[in-house]
Amino acid sequence: MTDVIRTFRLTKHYDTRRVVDCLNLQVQRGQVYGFLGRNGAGKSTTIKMLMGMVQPDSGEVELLGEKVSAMCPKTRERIAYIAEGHPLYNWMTIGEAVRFTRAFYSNWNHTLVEQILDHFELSRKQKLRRLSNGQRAQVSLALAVAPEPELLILDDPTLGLDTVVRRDFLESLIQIIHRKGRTILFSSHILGDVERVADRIGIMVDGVLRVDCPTDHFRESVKKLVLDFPGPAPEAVDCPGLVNSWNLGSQLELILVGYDEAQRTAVEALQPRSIEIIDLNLEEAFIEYTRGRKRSLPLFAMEESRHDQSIGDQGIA
Amino acid sequence: MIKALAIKELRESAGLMALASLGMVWALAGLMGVNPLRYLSGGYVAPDQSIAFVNDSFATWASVLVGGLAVALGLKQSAWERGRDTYYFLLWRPVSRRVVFGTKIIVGVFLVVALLAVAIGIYGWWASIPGKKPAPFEWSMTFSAWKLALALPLIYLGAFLSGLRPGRWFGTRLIPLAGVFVWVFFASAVPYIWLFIPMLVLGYFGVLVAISYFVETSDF
Repeated sequence: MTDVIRTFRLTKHYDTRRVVDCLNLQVQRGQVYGFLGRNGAGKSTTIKMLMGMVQPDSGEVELLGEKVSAMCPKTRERIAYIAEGHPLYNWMTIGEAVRFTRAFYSNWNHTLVEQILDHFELSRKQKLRRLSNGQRAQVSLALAVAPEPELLILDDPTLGLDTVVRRDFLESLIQIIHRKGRTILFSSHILGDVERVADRIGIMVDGVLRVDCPTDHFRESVKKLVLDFPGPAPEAVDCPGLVNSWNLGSQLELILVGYDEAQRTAVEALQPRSIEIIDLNLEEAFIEYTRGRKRSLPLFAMEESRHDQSIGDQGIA
Repeated sequence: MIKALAIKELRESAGLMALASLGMVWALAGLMGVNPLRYLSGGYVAPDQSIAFVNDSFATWASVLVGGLAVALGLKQSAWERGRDTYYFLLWRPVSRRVVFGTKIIVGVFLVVALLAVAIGIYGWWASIPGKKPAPFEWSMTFSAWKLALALPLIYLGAFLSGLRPGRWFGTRLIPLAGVFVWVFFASAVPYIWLFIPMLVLGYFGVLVAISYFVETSDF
């Protein structure tokens, strides 16, 4: 298998903040790679560096075996990019946008564009400024796939779309994937979408790629353990593969990666009354893996005493 | 593809061009003695004693209107796309950035020079009709106007560079434009054409090198 996307120690700072830190990313031909991370984790900056829109402070990017900084137009024809928000020229009609984009490509599948536009019931005479977010996404997709690209890079393509449009968009994307084993890298906040489409995921946390593995493997690796104690739960836990822990009074919640014999022994050494092992779906696994020490605040409908107790649990001063 | 890029730039510049053209028509009408507001001033029109291009207000109007177009167009062509994120759509097309920005600049310079050239042509043709002005007309009298036509594209490029160049706030981003204004002012004040031309060439060279640098190295 050849690497279609390859970065080597890619690093970017904004002022003194390191937004992408020594990123080594490899995506192989035919893979659908879900690129995940919380807001500000460095996903968009990474994608912009992949596309040459942002210059890295250090490191290199190769797409289809060619350095992005010196990529020839012929290679660029084989790569499609849909930026976040589906930027298009609002003054154009859909027909004008198709004609404008077509002018740049030697290989343009006009039948495919027509099929996609017809499928989504988009008139060629509609002005882009009058389209909904979903329709703009559909036009972007049609324009992106028309040159029959080998590699598609999509920055949060379903952002702002309603559930039905998102499902339609993903169905189209899946159909596109099935054509000639294309490679797709896409970032998203919607884990359900990623779970449906991606066969491998990467998770960025504070600019660092913390996870790079098959989607199923990640989901199966992250476990939540709820330890129940007869008295107060211990504050500190020393356990290999521990991502996070929360003391909830007499309970201790642990998020562990790759739960195995060594971890079981370490957990049992705490002598809890019971141990509950909870399997997580991708969304839960992602949330637990990335949210850090802060927990959500499910407090608003609770009585004051419980409120105080919960705040105490979170360790918020 | 260059044709598609050029048509896009022309379409996006059409509004500003129309506004500047209307202003220029108004100014030329005034210079030709057709005062659209004369009814407001009781219908009185002062006798015209000016000599076309020599001591009339053509250069002032042209500087304000075509200079204004140059600044607005330069900023719009470079900063507007950044503001709307359309650079992400445009710059990933299989064409080099030099071609994309080169086409933008050629269209922009063409529009600025074309507006001024048409205005010089129309006003010169009118002034050459005997009896229209109280002085004989020679085309050599348009020399100062053509000097302006050589200098205004530099203002346009300064504005383009300001829109392209990253800056912490708008004031510092306008430094190239302000610098070019000063340079053009001094170049225009030089009475010798043999010095005026090299000064302009130097200005063009510097600004184009800077644009080329930011086109290749800027974050979009």
